Amino acid sequence: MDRRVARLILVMLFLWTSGIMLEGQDLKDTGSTMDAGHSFPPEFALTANENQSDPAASGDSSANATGGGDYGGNKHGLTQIFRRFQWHGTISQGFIYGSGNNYLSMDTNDGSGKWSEAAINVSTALRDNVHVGAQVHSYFMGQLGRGTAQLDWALADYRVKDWLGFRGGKLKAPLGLFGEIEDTDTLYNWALLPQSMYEVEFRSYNIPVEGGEVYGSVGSGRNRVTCQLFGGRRSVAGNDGGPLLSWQIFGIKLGPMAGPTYGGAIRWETPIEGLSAGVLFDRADLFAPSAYWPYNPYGWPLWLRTDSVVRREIYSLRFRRGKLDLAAEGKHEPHWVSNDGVPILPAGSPRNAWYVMGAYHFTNKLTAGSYFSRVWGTSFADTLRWAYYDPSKPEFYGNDTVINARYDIDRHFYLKLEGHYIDGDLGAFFPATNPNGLQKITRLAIARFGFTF
Amino acid sequence: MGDSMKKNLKTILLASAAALATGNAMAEGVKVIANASLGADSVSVAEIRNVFLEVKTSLGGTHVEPVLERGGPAHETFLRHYLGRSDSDLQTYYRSLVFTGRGAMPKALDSDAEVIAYVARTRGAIGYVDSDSNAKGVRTLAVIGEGNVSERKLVSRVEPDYPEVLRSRAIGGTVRLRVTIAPGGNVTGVELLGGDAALGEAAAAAVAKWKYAAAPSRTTAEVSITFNPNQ
Repeated sequence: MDRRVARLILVMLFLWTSGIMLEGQDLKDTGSTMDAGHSFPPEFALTANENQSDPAASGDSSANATGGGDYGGNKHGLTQIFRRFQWHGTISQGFIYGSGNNYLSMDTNDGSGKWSEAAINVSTALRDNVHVGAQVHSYFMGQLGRGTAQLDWALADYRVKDWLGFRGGKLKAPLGLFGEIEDTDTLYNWALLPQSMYEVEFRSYNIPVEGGEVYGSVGSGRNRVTCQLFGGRRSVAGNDGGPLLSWQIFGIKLGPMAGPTYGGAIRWETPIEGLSAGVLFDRADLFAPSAYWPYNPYGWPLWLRTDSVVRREIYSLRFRRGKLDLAAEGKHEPHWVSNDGVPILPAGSPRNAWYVMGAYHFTNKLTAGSYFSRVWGTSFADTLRWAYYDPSKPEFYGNDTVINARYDIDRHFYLKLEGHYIDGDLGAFFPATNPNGLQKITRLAIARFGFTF
Repeated sequence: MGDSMKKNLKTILLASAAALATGNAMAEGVKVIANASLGADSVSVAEIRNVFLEVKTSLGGTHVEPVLERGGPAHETFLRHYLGRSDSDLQTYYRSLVFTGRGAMPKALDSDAEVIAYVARTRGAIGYVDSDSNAKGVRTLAVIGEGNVSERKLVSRVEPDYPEVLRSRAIGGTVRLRVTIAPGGNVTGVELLGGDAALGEAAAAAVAKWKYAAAPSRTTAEVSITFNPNQ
């Protein structure tokens, strides 16, 4: 495990245990019978204002926890400050063993545990309808992530009405059913989400947007439409898979890559219990002003000014009723790449994908499921391949058949086991870890173990 | 039997047939409670779902904060009837809000007594407890049903008198009433929602004498009564 991830985990454990200790303090101070071992140890939320309904009874008529006033008279120093915040965190460790291609820049054919993730967040309510918070995320996945602690999101949320709100800061942009949570392992059953849609090697591009969002909803109950419109700036982190692929496949060092983005998502909770449908559109114009191509066919080093336009359309369906959870999504992602304004390819090369999945909750602890995921075309990171696109070649398609089981040991700990049979290339068979070229078939056995508070 | 009596009987029968108790009350075994600051006496099933899923943050103009129980029969019943989710589903849902910055983890307590005490002292708090719990110091909300909660049975009813002056002038129509029913079954409040005021007054006078089956808490129902001057 990388030292930086380990450091983050230590901080999380400290906060978690601090939460328990503070809860004990709270128990003593207020006479609450809260159990120190409950599921959400640091119950520091000030979203509800104790004693405010009866200021006289509290003996403090100015008590205003949500407004940042003298909560409880500020009698307990650090405890009371901490009570203003909610702290939550998650850590997970993955192991992959397989045959065929090495996956995700790990030596999976020999078995690899170089897959650690951790995140911690803090949030608080400044007023009834104003919340702020931030999350730091760190991951280590083969040569990706490198354990760097990165700001995952940091935002202010102002809910004007129940049907209208605004968010600003660094946000998690909507992306299909799982886009906003794809780096939070505890929130879904699968060890790997369908990689045709949620490529872990492109997380830094897929998930965060620095900017703003308007969100709203109409209807209620089982017939409700929610809408998000966002705009801002996307960037590709240097420790992400895009730059690594570009370097390993083409010998191009991309350097900083960022640009404006906008998009919108609509989701409809239909009158049919459990059935929802959604659609997303977004676009990003990514600019890499100092890409460097030292070894190229021209014989001398070249500096490139690369523009990429990536558009996405995603259509989603989900049916959740009782113990059954079914989902299907499709994606169309054309992209255009040019250098100094000159198109590298005459037309946008598309990447298309879809998947279907089903899971069944056998008990409160055990869920099992399966999905089939397919992708074809090229991503914007390897768009140069489009020049010799041949859909019958395994580097231009990927079919992934998956079986999975998740066991929740308790509310904090969980274990996932998953098997993949991959025909073709899902996009994360990095050349450096596959020096003998691409194998058509890859088999993977994955285990992930995690803890959340 | 005179014509007048026949007409009255027909009217009574029609009115009886048209009396509809739509939606009703609470899931068996659980009642919804709120802090006294809440600006509402009743809440619909959809509102409960939206409040506990943090889609809705106010009721009757008051900011609300959901309070959960960590387990037990009331918790299970509440999740099944009102949210349609299992406990683990709900935890995952809240965590998805927390880990994306889109919401907060609600307060979760261990027992009915803790929930009642917390709701009693916390502005805007709304929770649920076992229907047999002694919910002192909090407001028990009437739950306006939405299909998946059992209706409260009408066991005795008094038919409305059709005011002769209105019938002779061919004034008729349908009136809609919201009825508040005490746990013992007596009607404790009638509110005219729509229709002619004079007819509504006559209908309300009759409905006030209706008797429903007993239930663990106060509930509301919507009743429609039709007055037809030609019958």
